[in-house]
Amino acid sequence: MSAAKSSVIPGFGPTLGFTLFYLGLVVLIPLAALLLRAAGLGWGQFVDAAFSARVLAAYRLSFGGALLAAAANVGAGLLVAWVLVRYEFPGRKLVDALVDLPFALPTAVAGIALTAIYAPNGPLGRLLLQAGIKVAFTPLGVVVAMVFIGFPFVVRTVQPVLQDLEVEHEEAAVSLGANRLQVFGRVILPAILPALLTGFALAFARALGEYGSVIFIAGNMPGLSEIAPLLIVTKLEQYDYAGATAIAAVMLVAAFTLLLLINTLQKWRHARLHGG
Amino acid sequence: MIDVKNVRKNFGGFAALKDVSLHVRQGELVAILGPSGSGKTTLLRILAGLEFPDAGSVLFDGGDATHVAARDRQVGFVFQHYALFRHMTVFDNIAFGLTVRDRASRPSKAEIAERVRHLLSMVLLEGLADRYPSQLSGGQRQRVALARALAIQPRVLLLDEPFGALDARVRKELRRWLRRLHDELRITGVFVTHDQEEALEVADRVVVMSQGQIEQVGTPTDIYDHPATPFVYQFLGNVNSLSCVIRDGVAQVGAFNLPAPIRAGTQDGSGVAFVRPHDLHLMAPSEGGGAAAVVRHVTVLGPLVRLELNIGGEILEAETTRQRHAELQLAPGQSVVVWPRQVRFFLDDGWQGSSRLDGAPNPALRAAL
Amino acid sequence: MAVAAVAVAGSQRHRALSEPRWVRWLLTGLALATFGLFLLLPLLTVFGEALAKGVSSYWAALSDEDALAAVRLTLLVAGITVPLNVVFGVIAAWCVAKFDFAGKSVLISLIDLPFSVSPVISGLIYVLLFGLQGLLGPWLAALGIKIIFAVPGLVLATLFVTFPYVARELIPLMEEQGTEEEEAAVVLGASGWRVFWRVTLPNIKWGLLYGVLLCNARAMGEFGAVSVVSGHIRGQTTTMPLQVEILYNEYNFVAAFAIASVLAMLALVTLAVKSALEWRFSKEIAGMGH
Repeated sequence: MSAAKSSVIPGFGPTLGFTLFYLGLVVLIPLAALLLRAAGLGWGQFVDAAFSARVLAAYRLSFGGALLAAAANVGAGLLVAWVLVRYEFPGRKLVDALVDLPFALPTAVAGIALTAIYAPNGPLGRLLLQAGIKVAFTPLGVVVAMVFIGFPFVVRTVQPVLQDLEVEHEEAAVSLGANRLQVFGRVILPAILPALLTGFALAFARALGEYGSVIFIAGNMPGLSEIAPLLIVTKLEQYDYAGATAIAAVMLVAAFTLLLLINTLQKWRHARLHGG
Repeated sequence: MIDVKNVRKNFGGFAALKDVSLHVRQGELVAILGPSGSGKTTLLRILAGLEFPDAGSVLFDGGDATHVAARDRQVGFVFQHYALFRHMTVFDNIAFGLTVRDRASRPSKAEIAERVRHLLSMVLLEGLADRYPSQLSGGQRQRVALARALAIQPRVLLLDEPFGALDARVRKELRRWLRRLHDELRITGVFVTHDQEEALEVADRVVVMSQGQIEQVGTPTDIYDHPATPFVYQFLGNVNSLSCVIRDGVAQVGAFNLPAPIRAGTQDGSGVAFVRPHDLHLMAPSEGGGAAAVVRHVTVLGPLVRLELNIGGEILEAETTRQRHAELQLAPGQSVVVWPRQVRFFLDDGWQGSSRLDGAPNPALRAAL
Repeated sequence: MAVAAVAVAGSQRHRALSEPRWVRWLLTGLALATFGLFLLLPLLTVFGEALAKGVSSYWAALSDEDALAAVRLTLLVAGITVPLNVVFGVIAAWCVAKFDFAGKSVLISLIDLPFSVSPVISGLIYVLLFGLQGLLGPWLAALGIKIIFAVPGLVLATLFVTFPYVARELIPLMEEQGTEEEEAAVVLGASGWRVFWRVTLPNIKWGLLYGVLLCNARAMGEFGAVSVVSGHIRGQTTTMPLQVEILYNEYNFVAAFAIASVLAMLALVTLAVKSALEWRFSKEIAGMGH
């Protein structure tokens, strides 16, 4: 019944002022400069730069690869989260700690390591080549790197929900005659669905903008294995600022749309968890 | 001594306090009693300087303290969940208010240690100085919070639901202990509670609040025996609430026809009437007059027996002794006759009063039943 | 939240609610295979490749002049950006967690913004502002100030990508801790500074350390954003991840993986301390670690 926040704690004005100042200086003004610059291009120039055939191919690879990688991560992430929460096995704590490796490992390091593994002379690359599958320097390599970089998201969103799942719900389902698969499909899955979707969206957003871990394994052949962020860098190196800005603006709008979607998802999750 | 004058406080569109005035005498312990949302905690926080009123003033010992900052107010405040500093020992928690003073007014280290030791013995926690809050029981934490508040030698002591977070047995012990401590220290104190038993047992005077307004101020006996409003009557203990119509000298209260209460002004009127469960007198149909009732449910609660009665379609609660229960051999489905010994009227025209109806029902009325 | 995994596990669950043994083994096996293939193998590869030509080549690669310059630059950039973002993070968290005001959720979203921006774009925005063809470029050139293709550019780009880490960690933690202890300190006569130093800071110290750790790991390991603003001048604007790229593109794999192995060790130490903090102080650390 008391007011949630009190008025006696000092420092509201100065801290809010500093927060807005620093946020504006480091984040908002630079981002606004990009959008301003893109707006200054004029419609014709913008469309030419942002939607040429080569750029469209890059979008296709970035969005398509990110989509595939995020989908793969839903499966792998659910599996790992499930095993970590529900089963006891030696090394469980180590696995749990190392799940965050893609967050902690610099992307360039991940990139060269994945390339070394999947290159035609690498340990896995050689095996897969014998089976007729080429990974490094193809779109498949891009997807592999994106799976790596997005791996922790689904695990870390699903794990706590799985952990907090009330045993009673499953017991109730069992006592009502459900078998194990029915319990999973009709009790557990609906409960973790929002978390799965959030993890999917987060992994997708991360893969979409990813650069360091992808460029080494991609091979970067224009129109085939060139991702959109790399194209921005390439344009910049050719002093094609307009081209870089236009592609960046498209990617930025996509990222913000995703952010909005993720926030909505999280509100939905919250509402489902806490009612209302 | 505390004076609250015409204080108002809104949170957004919600009026938490609507024109509240209150006088607390030097050295007395006052309970602010009310349900949640009644504004009692807001009033306490305004006294502490943790909230500031939109209008009105707060005076300490006659001096205006309305706009004095909390840190300069010299009030001791015991938070509902104690708000002990979790990373400090019991000693450091109690000493905090002294150690944060500026150099000029800060006591020496030895003095602080001495004062903390004294407070620890006062709250019966000697030997626990080096513990951390997480290592203490609820009752111990509560006493540390109290010692910490007392360490700054406050002009007034404010406690927010001081026993709310404790289990029933500890709560009772601490209640008596706080009362004794107050009798020793004689510090002006205000505490907030939603538990009427707590307010009636501990406080010198009780302030009953509802919906941002003070309903009644009085001693515990006053409040219980002479509730000023229907809200106070209902808030203090169990009560049966019945609609009543008074016409031609007869008060029809639910299924009861009673002699109308004696009152000034017009005789006829309507409103509500309250009967406490223990004021419902139960008789066998042969024993006397009253309203016919059927027993619906019997619950034995130690020395007491609680009954649910159906009287003319209305469900009332009654209490009687084990002995009477045995005499009447009360069981579900059985018919009894019921007579209210005491009824409190609150009429729509503002009149209120009690009727005592001891003894046998009026013979004249018996004919009417 | 890695804390989650510490608690209940299979053995404590009811038999009725557990899968048959062969399903459990199969799922655990699949999970471990995924883990080994996608996480463990890349990690081992880094160290394997670094030591492929023996310890002496490894040491030679690490004691190379340019490699040492890259280490120094990486430490310098992290040494500037992490403290700045710590100050910002603490102040922003205080503002957001201890007060209610209109537009608060918008502010939190804006603080999170850099997380969703591609690292390449994080670098690009500074090129567009401070580069020779940028908005302020001509003016800076006239003053003789060089930001892009110089250390200030690296600092700015790193500042941007590590911007949310500390604030993101502290906001949920401080919101959960509430304001009662601070109120108690104020009533007992403490000033604003004292409330912060003696009550708030001790309560958030582990969460703060956690945030600093993640912020530092990202600052030292950032690649895309600094790659755009660096200009790749050897020994001058090349941080460790950029040095890895240069060496790799020159087919000097041992040297590239040697420096990569140092960065991988940094990542492992970060994860180890992070797990230790989560295990020991789970209640004093909030939410997800990224």
